[in-house]
Amino acid sequence: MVLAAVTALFPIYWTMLTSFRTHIEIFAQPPKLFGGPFTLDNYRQVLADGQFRASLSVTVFVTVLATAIALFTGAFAAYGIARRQAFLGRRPFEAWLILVRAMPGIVLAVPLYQVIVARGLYDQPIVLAVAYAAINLPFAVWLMVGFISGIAFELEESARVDGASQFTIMRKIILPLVAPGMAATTIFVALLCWNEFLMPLVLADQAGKTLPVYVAGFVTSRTIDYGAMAAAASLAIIPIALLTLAVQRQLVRGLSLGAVKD
Amino acid sequence: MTLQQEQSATAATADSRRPTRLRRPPTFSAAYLAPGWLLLLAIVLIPLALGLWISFRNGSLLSPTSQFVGFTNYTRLLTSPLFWDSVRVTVLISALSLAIQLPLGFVLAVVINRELTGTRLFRSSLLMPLLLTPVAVGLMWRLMLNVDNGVVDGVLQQLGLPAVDWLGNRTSAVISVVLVDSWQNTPFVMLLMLAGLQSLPAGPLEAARVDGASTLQTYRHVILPLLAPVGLVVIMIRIIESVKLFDIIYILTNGGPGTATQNMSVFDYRLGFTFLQTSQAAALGVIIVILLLPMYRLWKRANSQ
Amino acid sequence: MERNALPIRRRRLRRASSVVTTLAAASLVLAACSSAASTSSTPGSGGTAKEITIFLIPSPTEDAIKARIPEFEKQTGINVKVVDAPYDAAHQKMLLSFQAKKGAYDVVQFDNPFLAPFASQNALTDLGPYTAKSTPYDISDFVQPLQEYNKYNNVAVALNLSTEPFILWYRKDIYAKLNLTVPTTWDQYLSNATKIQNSGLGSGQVIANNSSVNSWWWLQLLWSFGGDLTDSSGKVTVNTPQAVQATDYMKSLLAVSPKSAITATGDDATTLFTTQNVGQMINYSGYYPVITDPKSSKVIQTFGTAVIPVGKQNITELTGWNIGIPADSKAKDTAWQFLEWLLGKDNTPKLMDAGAAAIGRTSIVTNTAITSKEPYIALLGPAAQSGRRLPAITNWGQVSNQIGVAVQDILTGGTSTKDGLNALQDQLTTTLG
Repeated sequence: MVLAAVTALFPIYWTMLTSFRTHIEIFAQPPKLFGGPFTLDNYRQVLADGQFRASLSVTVFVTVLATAIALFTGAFAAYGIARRQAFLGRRPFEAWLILVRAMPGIVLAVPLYQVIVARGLYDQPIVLAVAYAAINLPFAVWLMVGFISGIAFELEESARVDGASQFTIMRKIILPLVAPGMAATTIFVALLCWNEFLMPLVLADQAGKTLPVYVAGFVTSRTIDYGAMAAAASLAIIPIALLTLAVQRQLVRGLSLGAVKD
Repeated sequence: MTLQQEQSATAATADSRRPTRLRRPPTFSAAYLAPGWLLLLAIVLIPLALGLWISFRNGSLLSPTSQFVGFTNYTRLLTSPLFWDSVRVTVLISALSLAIQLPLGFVLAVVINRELTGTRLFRSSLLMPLLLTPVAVGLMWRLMLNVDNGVVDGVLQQLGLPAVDWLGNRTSAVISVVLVDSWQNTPFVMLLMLAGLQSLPAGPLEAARVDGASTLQTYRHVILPLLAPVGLVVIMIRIIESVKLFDIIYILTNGGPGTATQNMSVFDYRLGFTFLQTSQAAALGVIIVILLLPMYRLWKRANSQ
Repeated sequence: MERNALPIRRRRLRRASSVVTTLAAASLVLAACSSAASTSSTPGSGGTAKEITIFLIPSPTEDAIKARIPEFEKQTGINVKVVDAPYDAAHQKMLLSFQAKKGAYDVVQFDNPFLAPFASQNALTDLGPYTAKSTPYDISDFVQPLQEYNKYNNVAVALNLSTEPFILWYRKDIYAKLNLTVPTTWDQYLSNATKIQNSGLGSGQVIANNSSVNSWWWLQLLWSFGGDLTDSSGKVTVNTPQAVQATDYMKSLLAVSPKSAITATGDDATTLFTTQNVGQMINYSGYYPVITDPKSSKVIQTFGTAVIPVGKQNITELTGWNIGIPADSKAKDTAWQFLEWLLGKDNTPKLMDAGAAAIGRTSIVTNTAITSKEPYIALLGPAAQSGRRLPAITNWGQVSNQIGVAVQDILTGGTSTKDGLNALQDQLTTTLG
C-alpha cells in the first residue's frame, strides 16, 4: 500500500520539484531526488503571464458550464434508462453513447471544426462547453444509471399512489437520495472537462485556450520549457485537487449508494 | 440463514426494485432522453455522420474538393500492413494495461476497504494521478524515463541496477506506455471497485461466514458475483478508453520507436494529420467504432442484473 | 421478458438497424445544414483595414515578433492580434482554416515543408507583386537560393522569416583538451567524435534520430555522400550505394552519441548539447537563442560554430520559417504593410535583437558589426549559397514518416541497411509514384 501511494505520488512530486528548478538543474546528471538550488522564476513567469490567468478563468467557466449541462441532461437520460425497461429510442441512445466514447477524438474533431466554423461558432467558450458536455455525456449517464437504479422503486410507487406528480417525485424523492451519487458523477465529469485537450486545441484559438492547451504551449519549436510547464501544471492541479479532496468522502459514499444494486 | 436462502432473498429484493413493465406507456418515457438527444445532435451526430460520409470519398487536407470512391479507403486499410501492425499494438497495449489495472485496482480497493490506519491518506494520494493534465503527465514521464538524465534510471543506477532505455527500445517503449497509462488510470478502477465493495449487502457475507467459507471462497462465490455490475461497467469503460488511448502515447513516444507504440488511435492521427489524408482517417475511425460496438453487450449485462 | 427471449441475431439486427436509422436521420439533417451553410454569409473573423490576426508558432521568433508588435501598433494604429498553437496543431489548423475559407488569419508563420501542401491548393497569396515594388523590403538583398526557398512552381508565396541551415556546433574546450580541429570532411567529424567518446570527456556528437524528424538529417547525409531522394527522371533512388554509405555512416554516428540520441528530436539534441557534455552537434542555426540562453545552457562560454563538413556534393540543408498571407485573408494589403515593416531591410536587425532567429539577408551576413558579436551569422552566407531546401512535395509528411521509420529501424539493428533501404525504396516508389 505504501508502495502504491509512493508510486502514485512520485510523478506529482517530481512535477512540483521540476517547477522549482532551472532548466539546467532539471537536466542535471545524475538527477537529484531532493534539494538542489531552487528558483521561483518559473512561477513568476507563469503568474505574470496574462494568458495563464485568461486560461484559468476560461477553464473554470467551461468546466462548470459543461458539467452542469452534462449532469442535467445525463440525469434525465439516466432516469429514463434506469426506470423503464424498453421504449422507443432507448437502444439507439445507448448505442450512440458507446459510439461517442469509442470514436477517436480526431475523427470527431475535424468534421466538428468544419461545422462550427461554417456556422461562425469558432473560438467561443460556450460552444466548447456544449462540446465537452456532449462527449462526456456517456460517462455521466453510465455512472448515474447505477445510482438511480439503487433507489427503491417502492418509494416512487407510494408517492405516486399518494397523488404526487412526476415532477414532484423527481424533486422531493429522487434528487435528495441521489445527491451523493450526483456529487460523485460531478467530480468525474468535471475532471474530464478540466483536462480535456483535443477539443479546445482544434475548436478554439486564444479565447478558448484552456489550461491543458496553455500547458502544451510550453513545448515550443526549439525547446521545451519544462520548468514553466511544470509550474503551470502544478497550479492547474490545485483547483481540481481541492474540489476532489473536499468531496472525497462524499465521493465514495456516493458511488457506493448506487453502483451496486442489491 | 444459509447462503442459498440469503441469495434468493436478495434476488427477491432486487425484483421489487425493478419497475414492472406496465407502469408507463413507453412513448412518454422517450421524453427523458430528449435533452440527451438534443445535445448529441448538436455536437456529435452531425460530425459523425459527416465523418462517415467523408470516409467514402478521397478527401484530404491537400484539397478543398473530393470525389466519391466507395469502399476504397476501407479496403486499402484492411490490406495495409501498417493497419494490422497498429491493431497488434492496440491489442498488446490494451491487454497489458487491463491486465494490470483491473486486478491492481481491485486489490487496492480491497485493502482500502479494510479501513486500516492511514486509509484516508492513502485514498487521497491514490487519487492524485487522475488530476494531472494529460500533456503534463506525458511530458513529466518523458523527462523521468530519459535514459541519460531521467530520474527513474538514476534511481535504478543508485541501486546498482543497469539503466533501461525506456523509450528507445521497441519492447520497453510498449512497457513504458502501459506503465504510464496504468499509473494514471488504476485509481479510477480502484475508486469504482471500492464503491462496489462498500455497498455489498452484509447478509450474503454473513451467511458465507456462518457457512464456514474460506476467504477465497467468499470472494469467488459471493463478492465477485455481487460486484459484477460495477465491474462490468468499469471493464467496459477501460476497454474503450484503452483502445482509444492517444494523449499519453503521442507525447511519450509519438508512436515510436518506429511504429512500436503506434496503436490504432495514433495511426489514425498519423493518417489524418501527418499524411493529411482525412478520408482515410475517417474510415479508420469507423472501423475502430465498429470494433468497439460489442462493448454494448457489457453494458447490457451490467444493467440486466 | 419477451425482449430477452428474442434470438440474438434478431436483437443485433434490430440494434444495428436502429443505429442505421439514426444515422440516416442525422444525414438528412446534415444535408439540410450543409446547404444552409453554403448560402450563409457568416463574416470571417479575419482582419479589416485596422486589424489583422497573425498565427504564430511558439519559438524564439514568435517571442521576438510579439515584442516588436507594440511599436508597429503605435506607428500605424493598426491592431495586431496574435494567435498561436504548437507546431503540429498549428499547421493542421492552418490547413483546416484554408479549406474553410473564412479569412480567419491574415498572416501565418509556418515551416517550409508545409509550403508545398499550402501552395498546391492555392492557399497562399502570391507575394511577388508586393516584393517587386517594395524598397523597404528590398528582395534583392536575398541570394537566389533564399528566394527560391519561398517558391512553389516558381511563384513566391512566402517570405523568409528565418534562415536556418545545418551548421556544426562544437565544444571549444573539449576540442582544445584533445587537440582537435574543426572537421572539414565527414570522416574527420566521425574521427573527432570517436576520440571524444573514448576520452571520457563526454559523448562524441549528437544528431536527431527520432523517426519523426531523422529524415532531415538522413537527407543531408545522403546529399553529402553524393546521393539524392530521386534522380533527374523522378525515379526513387534510396537504395543506391551512396544511400547505403550515408545510412551506415549515420549508424556509426549513433555509436558515439549519448544513449538517448536514438529517440532524440532536434530539440532533444540541443538539450543534450546544452546540458550534458557532448562534443559536437549538427543542427540548425536557429537554435542559437536557446544555446546562448543563460537559463537553459551550460555551454554559453564554450561553444563554437562552423560550416558543416563537405561531402561529395557541397550541399547544406536549408531550413527555417516561412511567413505568408493566406489567400482567403480579407486584409491582404494591411497584412503586407505589417510584413514589410517587420521584415524590412532596416528593421530586420531589430527583430533579431529581440531574439528572433537570424534572417540571412546579404546585408546582415556581411555586416561586420553584427557578425563580430555573433560569428555564426557570417556562416549563414556560404551556407545559404550552397543551401538546398527539403523536397517541395505535397506529401512530404508521409515520405518523411516512411523514411523516419525505416531509418530508425536500421539504426536500432532491426534490419540490415541493405534490406531496410530496399524496403524503403519500394514504399517510396509507391508514395511518390
